[in-house]
Amino acid sequence: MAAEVIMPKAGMAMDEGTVVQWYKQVGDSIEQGEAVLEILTDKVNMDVEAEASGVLLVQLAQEGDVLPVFTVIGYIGAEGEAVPESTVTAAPAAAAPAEAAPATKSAAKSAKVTSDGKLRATPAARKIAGDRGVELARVPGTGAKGRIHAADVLEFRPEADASILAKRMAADMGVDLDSISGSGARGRVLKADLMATQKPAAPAVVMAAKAEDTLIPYKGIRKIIGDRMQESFFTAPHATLTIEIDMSKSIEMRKSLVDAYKDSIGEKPSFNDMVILAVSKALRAHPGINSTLTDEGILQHGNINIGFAAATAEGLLVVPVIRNADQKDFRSLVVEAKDLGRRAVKGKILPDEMQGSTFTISNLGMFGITEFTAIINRPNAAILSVGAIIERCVPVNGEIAIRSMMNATINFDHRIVDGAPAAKFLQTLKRNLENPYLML
Amino acid sequence: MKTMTYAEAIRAAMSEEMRRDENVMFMGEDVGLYGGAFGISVGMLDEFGPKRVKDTPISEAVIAGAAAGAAATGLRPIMEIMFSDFFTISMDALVNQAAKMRYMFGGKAQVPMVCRTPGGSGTGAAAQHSQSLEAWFCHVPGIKVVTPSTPADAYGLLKASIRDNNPIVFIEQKLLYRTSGEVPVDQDDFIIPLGLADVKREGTDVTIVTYGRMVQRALEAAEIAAEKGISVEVVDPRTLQPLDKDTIIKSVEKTGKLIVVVEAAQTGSYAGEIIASVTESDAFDFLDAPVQRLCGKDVPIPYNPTLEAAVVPQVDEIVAAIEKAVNRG
Repeated sequence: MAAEVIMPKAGMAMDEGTVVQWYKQVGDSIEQGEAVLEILTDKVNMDVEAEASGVLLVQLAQEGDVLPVFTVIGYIGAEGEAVPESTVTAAPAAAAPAEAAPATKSAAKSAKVTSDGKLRATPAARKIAGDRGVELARVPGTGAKGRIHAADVLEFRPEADASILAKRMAADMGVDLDSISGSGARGRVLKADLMATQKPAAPAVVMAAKAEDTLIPYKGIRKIIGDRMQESFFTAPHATLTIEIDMSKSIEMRKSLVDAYKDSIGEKPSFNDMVILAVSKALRAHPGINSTLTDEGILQHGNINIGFAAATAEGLLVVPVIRNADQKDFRSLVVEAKDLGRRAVKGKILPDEMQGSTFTISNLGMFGITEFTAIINRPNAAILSVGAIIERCVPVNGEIAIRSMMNATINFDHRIVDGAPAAKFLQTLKRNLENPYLML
Repeated sequence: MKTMTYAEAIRAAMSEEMRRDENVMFMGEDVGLYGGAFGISVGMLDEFGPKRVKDTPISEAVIAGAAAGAAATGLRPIMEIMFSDFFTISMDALVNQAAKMRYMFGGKAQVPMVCRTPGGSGTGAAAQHSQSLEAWFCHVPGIKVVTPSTPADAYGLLKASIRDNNPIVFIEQKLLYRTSGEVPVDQDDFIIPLGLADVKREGTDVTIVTYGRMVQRALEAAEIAAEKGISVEVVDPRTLQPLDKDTIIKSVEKTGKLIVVVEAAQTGSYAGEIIASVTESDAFDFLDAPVQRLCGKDVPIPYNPTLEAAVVPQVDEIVAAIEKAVNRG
């Protein structure tokens, strides 16, 4: 019995995935646990591993196909073994029309497809469908044996064929899918098409790559990041506030914890960990910052889930999330942040681990950046940009003193957060980091 | 306009043409003294004399042969075959002689003869006196076939037929002889050109193409359908050869649904020819329901009146076909 290769459900929120590339071609032998193909969720690229050893019997999806989770996309079995036929015909292409043909007409009669797969349709129905570019297979037939008549075609209002993600986005954005011309196969509406409706059309940049240039495809995670940044930047009006924080006491505290933590949990606390702690405590006092603008209203999150931006080895942005960060003791928080951080570099963060942030921190201090403004990680209301800790001369009690200073900048969605509450949040954050022992 | 029966309209047309043209003569079994088996020619012997209104022997071969010869040599004979079933005996003269002469003599001969004959069932005349054989004649190039359904059409088409220079089979119907209608006898030189269909009822939902006796049934069915909100168009081609395909196609393009009703036995009937003319035309793209043909059953017409009615299309069957067409059955 051949083993199925399926589009995995790699996260609770994953409805569909894209086939990025097949590592194994039909006929290649595969060991159990070996990567068969690479897929792309809406967040990460990941490998699909073989559940059994054997040879790849068939590939039921092409590279670039977007398929619902659990769709069978291949079979592994003994060389020459037959592939279950029903599943080949029930492969993704066949699944799509079935999903798209709405059983809206109570009058719609039984299957309109004859046993040899031909459609029952009158000449008039075919003519009109041809003239209007209507795909007859999607039209419910109201005639005898499901025959499609002219009126069926004329009355047919196709539910726009759209990817699951695009449907969800359309619902979120209040966009009528029918009004969008899809760029996918057979006019399937993709996320990019929805994104395109949300921004003024920018003139296409046409620039031929010369011999000395390198052309890198704008796709996959790179494009997803790009699309999200663009969506956030052009949707949420960003406003910016920066505060200076004296990190002297935080440095002192970290120094005093390093050895003890190394002994007890095997990890050293970082300044980033301390910022996460301070932010999560501050958010509890300022729930307005820990919110999301939804269709129903401004959703103030009961949980404080802190996303922190990290870079993979390839330089791609990932944002792992520490859930209920304000309720974790500092040791647990350090352990979790370190684990996520390390796996982020390797690109091994699971999609679920990047879901559900309520606030995001971006820290470029390790690069010596003193101050910057990050783009809000939607659907968060705000993002904190953390700069490097730098020793500076600052007046203290009328004297010039050298203190370790750090700039923290908040970028917030001005639709739901105003300047004063954001400023008060920064004040609390400053107080937390300047009196770090109070947080423990 | 004058109200007259189908039979009177035919008599009027023959008489007027015989008055107009002395070469027109009339012959058949019992057409003179007796006035015809169905009383069509009552009084004509008195008006035109035995030279122009001739009783013939009981030989359909003689009638047709004499008519073909008379036509080829300058007269314009009208012959009557008492029941169209008896045309079997006339076929050689009609098919092998009359229909061929114009062609075989390079257009130098013409055969202006009209073969009048009643067809159809419904009179309890049984299998040898009730057939609808129009498709046979349509199959022979050189013959024109006319099937009037009303007194006015019979009048206008018969006058046109008598004036035509080709052999014409003019199929009347026994059950129509006593039907009456307005006939424009007072209109100066009224004729209906052959090859021109008549839309007997305008409609938008379904086209019924039918001729002869079935036109009345189709109109009755259309009336019943109208009460149910269905708009039926009834197209009567009136002449089957030549066939006014344009009118039929135009109607089907409008309604998208075609029912052809003929009394003749289904297999090989002219319904198939009408349907083929539509499906091979531009109307194909407008067809929005399976084409239906309502024909006679493929059996000899029974003598028993109940069985006789059962083998030819009835009004309720036509109504059912209309409903099937519009209900996407």
